[in-house]
Amino acid sequence: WGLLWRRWMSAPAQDGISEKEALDRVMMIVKAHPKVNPAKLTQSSHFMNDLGLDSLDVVEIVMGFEEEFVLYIPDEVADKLVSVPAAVDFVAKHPKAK
Amino acid sequence: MSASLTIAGLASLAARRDAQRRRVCRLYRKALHHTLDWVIFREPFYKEASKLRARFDVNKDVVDVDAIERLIVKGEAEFKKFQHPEPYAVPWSPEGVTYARNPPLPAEVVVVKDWGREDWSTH
Repeated sequence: WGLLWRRWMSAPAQDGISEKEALDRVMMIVKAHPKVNPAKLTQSSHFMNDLGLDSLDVVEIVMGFEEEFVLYIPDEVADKLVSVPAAVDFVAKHPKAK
Repeated sequence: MSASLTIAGLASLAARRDAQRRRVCRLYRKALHHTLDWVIFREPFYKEASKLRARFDVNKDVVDVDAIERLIVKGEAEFKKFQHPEPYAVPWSPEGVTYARNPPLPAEVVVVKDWGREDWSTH
């Protein structure tokens, strides 16, 4: 047991998240929004065009990403996260995403 | 009104609307974050966030650019009055507590891990 604990303490932290995990978690957050119809959600949905969301709904979803992945997303970057692939790309490439 | 019916007028109007949309989104974003700072628990936060969203939705259909401008200015003044004095920021972010806490060493510095194999006996 002591060996397991020591192994956990000394294992290097993986930087960032894999694409698959990022995709799963991003889809989960978008599905959790009350105005999203989960049947229409695909891997390449655009929030405003495909899912029919408002710009304020997109702001809420981006805040969900910030809370889930413990990220700081500045305003200029947040303006560009308007679709599922854009969000997955951003999160998977971010070195500090948990 | 007639100035806006020319092509250049319409383009500048569209640009103004875009800028206003961005301002509204940023105001909403900051207001949401500061609401979470004031109301730290989740269930009351969802209620307050719904109320905030309802307040924004009341003015959803305003078309006149000047009226929108006035509403935005009013909203920003109200935000300035009710913002949280110490908003929470992610630690490594520029407003956070551990920002630049342990910056990476410059390339010239070489860390040699000798594990105490220096010559203590010769001192």
